[in-house]
Amino acid sequence: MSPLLAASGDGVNGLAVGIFALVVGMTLVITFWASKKTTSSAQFFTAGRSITGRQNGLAIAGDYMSAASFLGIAGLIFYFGFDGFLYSVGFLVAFLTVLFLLAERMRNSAKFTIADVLSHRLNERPARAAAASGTLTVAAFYLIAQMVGAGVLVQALMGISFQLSVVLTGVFMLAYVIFGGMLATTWVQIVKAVLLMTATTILAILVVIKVGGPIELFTKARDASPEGAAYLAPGLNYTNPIDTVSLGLGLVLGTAGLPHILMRFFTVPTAQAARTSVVWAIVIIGAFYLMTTALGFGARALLGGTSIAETIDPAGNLAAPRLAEFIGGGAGTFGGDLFLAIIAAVAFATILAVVAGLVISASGAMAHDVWNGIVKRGKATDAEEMWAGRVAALGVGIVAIVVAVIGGEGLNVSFMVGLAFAVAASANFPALLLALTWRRFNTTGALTGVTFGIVSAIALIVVSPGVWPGSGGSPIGWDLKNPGIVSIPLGFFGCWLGTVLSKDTSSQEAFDELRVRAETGLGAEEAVSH
Amino acid sequence: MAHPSATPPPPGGGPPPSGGPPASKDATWQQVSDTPEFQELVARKRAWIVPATAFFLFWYLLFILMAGYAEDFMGGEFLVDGITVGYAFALSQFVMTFVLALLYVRRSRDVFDPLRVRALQRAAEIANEPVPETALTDAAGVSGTAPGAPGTSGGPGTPGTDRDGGAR
Repeated sequence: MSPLLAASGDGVNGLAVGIFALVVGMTLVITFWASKKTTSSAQFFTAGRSITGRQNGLAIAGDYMSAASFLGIAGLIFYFGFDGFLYSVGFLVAFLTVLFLLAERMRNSAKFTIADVLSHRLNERPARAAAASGTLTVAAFYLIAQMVGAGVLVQALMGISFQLSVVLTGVFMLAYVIFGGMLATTWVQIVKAVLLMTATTILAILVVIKVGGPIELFTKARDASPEGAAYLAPGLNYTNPIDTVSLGLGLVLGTAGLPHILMRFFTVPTAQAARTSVVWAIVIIGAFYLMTTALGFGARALLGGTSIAETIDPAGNLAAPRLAEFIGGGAGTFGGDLFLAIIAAVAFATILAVVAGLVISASGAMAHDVWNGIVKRGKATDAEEMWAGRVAALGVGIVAIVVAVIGGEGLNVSFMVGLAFAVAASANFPALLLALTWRRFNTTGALTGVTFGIVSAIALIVVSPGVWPGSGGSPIGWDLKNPGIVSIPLGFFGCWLGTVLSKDTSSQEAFDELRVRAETGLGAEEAVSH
Repeated sequence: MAHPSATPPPPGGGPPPSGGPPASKDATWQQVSDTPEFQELVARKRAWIVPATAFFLFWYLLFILMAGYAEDFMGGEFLVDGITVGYAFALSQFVMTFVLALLYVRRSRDVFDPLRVRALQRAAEIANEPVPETALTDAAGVSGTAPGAPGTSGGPGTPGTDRDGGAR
């Protein structure tokens, strides 16, 4: 049980489990409904391309806002004030990169995966191998990070063991994806986005009322903080400006290389709907990050007076749940327990929606790129490809569950999330952008670029100080926690170097094909009519 | 100009019958790419997207650099007690993101989408076949018509509409 939160009784938090069962029951009904419609590979991987722009905007928000955003950023703001907010800014601005450079072009030129875009103009099998490596690296690290985070959170919020929490999360995730495919994944993400936004809005409004107004939120949080005025200024968390710029670049360009986000653009019928969906996502995500400020400051202003070390865990993840408990009436009261239980259930729904999105994107890369594209050379039937997707999802999911259970709470979550964003920004993003915009780009360039991006991002994170805690720090004296400022230019450089060293010019003619497809939607995959 | 209308669809998972130019693949993609309509579409988009991207990256990186190197300035009071210059700057990033996204949607609706429709009409002329209806409509819902069925709904008259409600 959680010593922090299970104040109302022994062991399992019964109210939290009840509300949680309600949410999960709803998602299982969705999955049952979706399973009847999932009869082809286009249904399985793209929900028949029948999701509307507005629905997809909600689903993108549900896919993107992880428990790390919800609980983690509220905690970072609670602890570090301004520097906690710095994260949110990058997460939001990143969607301009997605909107301007990729969303519509991805919808127009891909079938199921990122690799489809590259394979229009590059040699198909190496291009699929390169893109699938990027997708699987990002999805694997992000998925394991989310699973470990899920275990820790569910354990703390509901009072069940870490291992059981991970296995439960994994089983529901696999049920959505394997039986309900992208349709169930999408609606789980939509339900999660609605629940998360509703709970956050209500909590933020109650906090602002309790504190006395939006400006009072700032002044009271500052006055409650031991840092005083420095709480509202930069510098409490990020002390190396180069590292902060590196982080920012990784966020702003990495989001545009996250396979589970890009895959969402294949689920809408047109490029216009893809565009609309990004705008909806920006509105929802922007509003959400503004409200997390109210939660973090509210926790500081309202709980900060009490003994902080005993109230909030060191990671800060429990700042928002603790705040909810306080607003509801305090620990031990019915209102307090109810609010806490609702936040716990919403956090769990948040995790489920994100991991389901990650599993289906990894399943697409395994089934569509590696198995059908590379092994079967595109000769698999539609039904075979759909079943390959289900088997791949099962495999990816089981590996993630096993690694999370064996690695346990000791796995460094921020290391893996950092790695996922760094690889997305340094390998996936350069290859995609150059394939769509640079006539000279060729297969060798894609292979060297993706290799440079993945290897440099992993190497620089392995030697970073965050991985070597304790006295010595990094073994080679490398003191950047975020590799982006080096690995992103290296990814682009690798694309350029491979291209100019190769005499292959065959992909230049096909550049016109890809560009006509991407810009006009000519030859784009159509929505499945029923 | 060639009119390769009788050629079969390109091999290897190419466009569905109603979609792409049913051409001797690269030749026709090339022809579409060479039309002034398509060139104008690409040029106009680039002329908007490149400066807009440069601007938001500049404004965002300036924010981060100031947070790193001008801590005292960023911690100074902005208009009212409690709001710092840093927070005002951070909020300007939110405003910038909303405004640029809406400007892009309006620009797409008013300029890029009509150009795209003209480029598609030229592409259809080159391929000597009717303009694919599904490529012209902007309906966000599932099109209920058979692919390639001429002009039962939507059509060239409604290129700029966004029935999904996202663009206001």
